[in-house]
Formats: sequence, structure tokens, C-alpha cells
Amino acid sequence: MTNERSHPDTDDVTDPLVSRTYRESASERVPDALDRAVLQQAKQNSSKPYSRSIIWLRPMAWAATIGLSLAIVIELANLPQPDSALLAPPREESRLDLNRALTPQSSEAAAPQRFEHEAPETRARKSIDDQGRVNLLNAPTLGKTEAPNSTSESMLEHVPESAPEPGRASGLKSDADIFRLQDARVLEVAEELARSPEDKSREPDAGSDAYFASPATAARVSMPCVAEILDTPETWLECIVKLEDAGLDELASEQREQLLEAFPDFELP
Amino acid sequence: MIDAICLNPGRLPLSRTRAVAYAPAMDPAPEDSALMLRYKDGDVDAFETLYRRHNDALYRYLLRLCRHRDTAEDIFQEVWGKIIKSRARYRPTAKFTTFLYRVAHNCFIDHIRRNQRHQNTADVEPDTQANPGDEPDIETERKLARRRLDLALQDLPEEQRDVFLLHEESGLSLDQISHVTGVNRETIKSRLRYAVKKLRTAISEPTETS
Repeated sequence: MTNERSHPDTDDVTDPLVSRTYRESASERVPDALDRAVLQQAKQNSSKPYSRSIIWLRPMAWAATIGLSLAIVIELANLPQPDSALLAPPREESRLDLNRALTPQSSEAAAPQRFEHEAPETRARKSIDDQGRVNLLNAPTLGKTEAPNSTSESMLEHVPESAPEPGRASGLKSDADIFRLQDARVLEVAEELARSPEDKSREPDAGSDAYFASPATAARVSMPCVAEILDTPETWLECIVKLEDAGLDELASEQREQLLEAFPDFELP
Repeated sequence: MIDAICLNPGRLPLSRTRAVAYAPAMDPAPEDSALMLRYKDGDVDAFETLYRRHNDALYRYLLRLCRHRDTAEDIFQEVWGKIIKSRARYRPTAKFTTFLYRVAHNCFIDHIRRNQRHQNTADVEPDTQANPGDEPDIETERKLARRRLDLALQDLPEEQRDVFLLHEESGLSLDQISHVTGVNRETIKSRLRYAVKKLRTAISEPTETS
């Protein structure tokens, strides 16, 4: 600020001597630290401010977010209602499993699904606790088999006699009886699972004659009969014929008696 | 053609450069407003150029207006901070110097309202350094004159001192000073006249008084 300035509008109020003297005396300069602070501040704030196009990005982002949210809500609202079977309580689901286990074709595969979450000890204990119900169904067929080493036999030894009464045989198809039979069927499957591998390895082929002769497999002989009881007397009779063909005459005769008790109007050949 | 020659004078033969010898000289330095607009777009170098142009004058203005060095430095930094932050809203509707000193003036007024320290204390010592090339008698006389001027400047009423400093340091016209201070032009002119008269009287005082 050492050069002379000319101000036409202030020439009449200024004094050159005063101006020159002032400029000679005014030689202070900004401290370097202050210079650095200001320039540093300018550098830190040097990022380009938002341009007009960038200013529009924020409302556009909001609009896009709201639009997507609405689309998702509408899409969810238009979804079909879930199947009632999927929303059924677990007990219903387990009952379906039981029915699946009762069918002869899938009995071997369904049983592991039913008990796969349980430890082997739990399975064994459960089968023992529920022996009575097993024998409600199998006592006539399995109670008299001569198989001291079989697991099912050992269980049957502790079972009280509970042969079906004549009067109850006619009511066998009531819901209570059906569910009891289902439970028994499931427990039989559990028994098979709990059997030792040695027993399984010693099992003969199902097609051979020795299949039914084994005490361990005697219980399995009744299994198709149990399932067929729920169907028709004709199928039950076919099972009895199979038992006779296998040489299990006592078992066959008992089944025949039960058939007649259950279907008194059925005429045996 | 003259414009083209002025833009590329180094590439032209001497016969042509002689033709532009009477052309009006072009100021190669960009204007303050252009620098501020460049800084608005993120050019830090433009701001530094702008800052180097005005930093010392603004510092002296604040230093002599406040009469307190620390206060002047605080206000100085505050002023530039506001300039930096307001770059996005800057419009070159007025001269940048007017804009800069208006911000400085407002910061000073705010400081007066916040505290009254500047009114009672003055820690700024007048610069009494001699120029090495001057004769001893002449230098002594100038030194005394500068000291008397500084003392008289400190004794001036604040409004007159403000107008005088704006006129001397920023080079603003009466209208521009009127715009900076918000006072009408005639009042500014009157204040400036009184200030100059007092300072001239102080400079011209007999040497025995000092």
C-alpha cells in the first residue's frame, strides 16, 4: 500500500501529506502463523459446494426409497395366503407323521424322521414306557412267540394281559382305537430302530421262509396285518394266509379269531 | 487484431509489436471477483492469490481500528473465515474489496458489542523504524511525524478513524465507504474531512512538543 491513490470524489477532503505519512508508518504485515491458519482453513473448505444438479440428488433418493418401499408393501399385500397346513400347530404335524408312518410302504423311512431328534436312550425308554399300548394291539400275535432274545419279546414279557374284549372288537374303528393303533405302530418302528446292528445283520431276506420263523421278525409279520385291519377283512384274511404259509399257525389262528371278532358278518372261506 | 497481438505478444515480429506499443496496457492479474468465483469452484490457488492481495491492508485496517493486536488478529481470522464459508453464496454484484471490508466492519462492530476491551487499551506501538537510505535529519523528522500521526489516529473518534482507515487502506470511494458502513455519503465525507484535518494538524505540530 505504498502507491499513491487518486480519489476524485475525495480529493477535496484528503491531504497528500497525511496520506504519505500514514503509508510510511503503516508497514505492519500479517504474522506468518495467521497467514497459514487462514490458508489452511481455505484449503480445508475448498471442496466444491453442491451444484444444482447434485442438490436434486437428495430428493430423488428420497423419492426412490419411498417408491421402492411402496412397491414392496404392495407386492407383499398381493401375495397368496399361506396354506393352512403350514400354519397348523405342531401336534397336527406330528399326527400327519404318524399317519405316514402307519402306511406299510413308508414305514421304514418315516420312523427315522419321527425319532431322529431323539437320542437312542430316549427312544428305548419311550418304547418301554409305552409297552402297554403296544401290547394292546400285539399281545395276541406277539405275546406267544418264542423268542427269548428279541427286544420286542423282552418287552412283551412285562406286559399285562390285555386281550381285546369281545365287546370292544366291534368298536375298533373308533377314533380312540385308531390313534391307539397308530401309536403302537410308531412304537414298533421305534423298536426296530433301537435294535442292535447285530440283529439287523442276522435278519434273513423277507422273501425266504425263515423270515417269519425268526422270533425277532415275528412282530414284523403282524405289522402288515395291523395296517390291514384298518382296511378291509379281505386284506386281513390275506395276511392270515401269509402267516399260515409261513408256518405260524398259532398266530394265524389268533388273527383269524380277531378277524371274526372285528368283522362278525364276514364269512371265512 | 490488436487483441490478438496483445494476447500473444511473444510470437510476433518486432514490426508488429511496435504497432501495439500504444495499445492500452492490459492487467494480466485476474480480478478479485473472478478469483473468488474460481475459489467457489474449488480453486485454492485463486483464493491464495486473492488473500495475498488484501491480507496486509485488511490486517492494518483492523489493527489500527481495534488498537489491540490480539483482537485484530482474531477479527482478521474471523473475517476470512466468513469469506471462505460464504463463497457458495458469493455473487460478483459489487467490488470484492467492498464486500471484504463490509464483512470486516461488521465483525468489528460485533466485537465492540461483545466486549469493550478495545476502547480502553491500546497495545499497538507505532512503527518507528527508519528507512536505511534516508538522511538522519530527514529520517528523524519523518519518524516524529509518523509517531504524531499514529497518536492522533488513536485519538480520533471511532467513526472518523474507521472512515479514514477505509479510505487509506482499502482505497474505497465515498460511495463504497458509505456502502460498507451503512452511513450516507455526506456523513462519510464529513467524517473523513474532520479526520484528515486533525491528522494534518498533528503532523504539523512543532517538533518541540514531541
